[in-house]
Amino acid sequence: MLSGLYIEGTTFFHRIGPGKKILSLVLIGTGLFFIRDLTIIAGCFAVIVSLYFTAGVPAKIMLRQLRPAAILLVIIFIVQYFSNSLELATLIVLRFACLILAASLITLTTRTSDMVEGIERGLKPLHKILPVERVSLTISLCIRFIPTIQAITEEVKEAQYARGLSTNIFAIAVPVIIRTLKMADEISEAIYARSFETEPYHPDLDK
Amino acid sequence: MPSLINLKDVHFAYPSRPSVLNGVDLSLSAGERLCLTGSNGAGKSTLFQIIVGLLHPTQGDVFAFGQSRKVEKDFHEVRRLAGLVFQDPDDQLFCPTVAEDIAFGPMNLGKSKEEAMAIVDTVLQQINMTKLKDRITHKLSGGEKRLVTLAAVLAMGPEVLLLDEPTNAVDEAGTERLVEILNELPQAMIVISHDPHFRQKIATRSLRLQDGKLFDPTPKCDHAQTDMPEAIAV
Repeated sequence: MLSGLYIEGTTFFHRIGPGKKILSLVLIGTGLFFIRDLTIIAGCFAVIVSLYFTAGVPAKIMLRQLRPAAILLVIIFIVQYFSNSLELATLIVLRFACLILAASLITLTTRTSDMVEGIERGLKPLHKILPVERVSLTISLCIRFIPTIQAITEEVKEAQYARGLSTNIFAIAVPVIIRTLKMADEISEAIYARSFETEPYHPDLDK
Repeated sequence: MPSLINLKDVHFAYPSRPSVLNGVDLSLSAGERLCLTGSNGAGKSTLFQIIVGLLHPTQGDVFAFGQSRKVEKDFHEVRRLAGLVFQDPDDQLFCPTVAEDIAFGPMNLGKSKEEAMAIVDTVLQQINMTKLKDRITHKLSGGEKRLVTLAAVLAMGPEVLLLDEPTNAVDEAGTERLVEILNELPQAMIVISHDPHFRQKIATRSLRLQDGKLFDPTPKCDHAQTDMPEAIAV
C-alpha cells in the first residue's frame, strides 16, 4: 500500500528532494552498522523519533511502521539476549528500529511519483546501458499493483473457503499466479495502447 | 466523407483455436457513434486490438487515418489518434494516482511534466471530475475508474474513441453521466456494449458481430426477423 502511505505536508522533510533522501538513508544505514555503543544508538533512535515530530507524522503512524517487524525484532532480541548480552540485544534491536523508522520516514514524506522520478533521474547517467524509462515504469507498476495482487489473493481465499476448502498454499497460489499473469498481459497491452513506444521489446508486435 | 477507420476482409485466429474473425468489413466516419454487439467471445475486443495494432490480422487490410497500417511502426500514430478504453479499468489504470495515470499518455507523446499536468486539469474539468486528481487509482469506485480511463485516453487528443464495454461495473447514475459525456464529445467512436438502453442513447449506427462477420441488425422490412441477418459490407 505504498502509494497510500504518503502524508500531505509542507515541512522541511517534505520539501527535500527524493534523491537526497535516498542518499541520506544509504549513509545513515551504513553509519548505523559501525556504531557499537548503546548510548550513541539510543541517541540516534531519539533523533529519528524527533524527526517524525518535525515532519508532522503522528506517533500512531510512527508506531505502525514498526508493527510488521515487531515479531522479528522480538526474536532477534531473545536470541541475542541468551547468546550474548542484554546490552548487545538492545543495541541490535535499536539499530534495526532506527533503520526501519528512517526508511519509513522517507516513504511517509515523499510522493510515489516524486520517488520514481528521483530514481529515474538518478539512473539517467546509465541510460546507455539501462532502459531508464522502463526501470522507472516497472517500479511504478510494482507499487501500483501490490494492493491489487493482495486483493486477488483475498478473493481466491474467500472463494475457496466458500467451497469448504481450508488454507492450502498451492490451491491459493495457482489461481493467483494465473490471474496475475493474465492481468500482466492485459496491462502491457494497455501501456502500448497509450503510446509507450521507446524502442519496444514486444516480439509478437514486431513480426 | 473519408473513413477514419476502415477494415477490409479482416480474418483473425488465435494460435491453435478456430478462426474468430472471418472477413470483417468495417468503416467509421467522422462524427459517427457506432455500437458493436455480439455474444461473448465473438471477437469484438479482438477487433479493437487489431485496429490499434496490438494484434495483426492473418488476412485482410487495416486502413486508419488515411493510410494502410501493416507493421508495428505504422500503428504508433494510430494509437495516438485512436484512444482505446479497455474492458477492465483495472488493466488500464496502471499508475499509482489518477493524475499520473492521465499524464502517462501525454508524456509518452513528448509533453513536459508541466504540459502534461495542464492537460490532466483540462480533461478532468471536461468530465467534471477534478476532485479525483490526487486520488489513488485502485481505491476509486467502478464508475470513477471508468471515467478516469476515459480521461486518460482523452488526454492524448484522439480523433477516434474505441470503448470496450464502458458500462461494466458502472451503476445507473454513472451510466447516465457517461451517456451525457459521450454525447458531448466531438470524437467519432466505436462502442462495444451489451446494454441495449445504453446503445440506444448513444448510437448513430449499430452492427452485430456474429460468426466472425459484421451484420446490420436492423430489420429490412416490417415483418423481418433479426436473428438471421444478411452479411453486409459496411
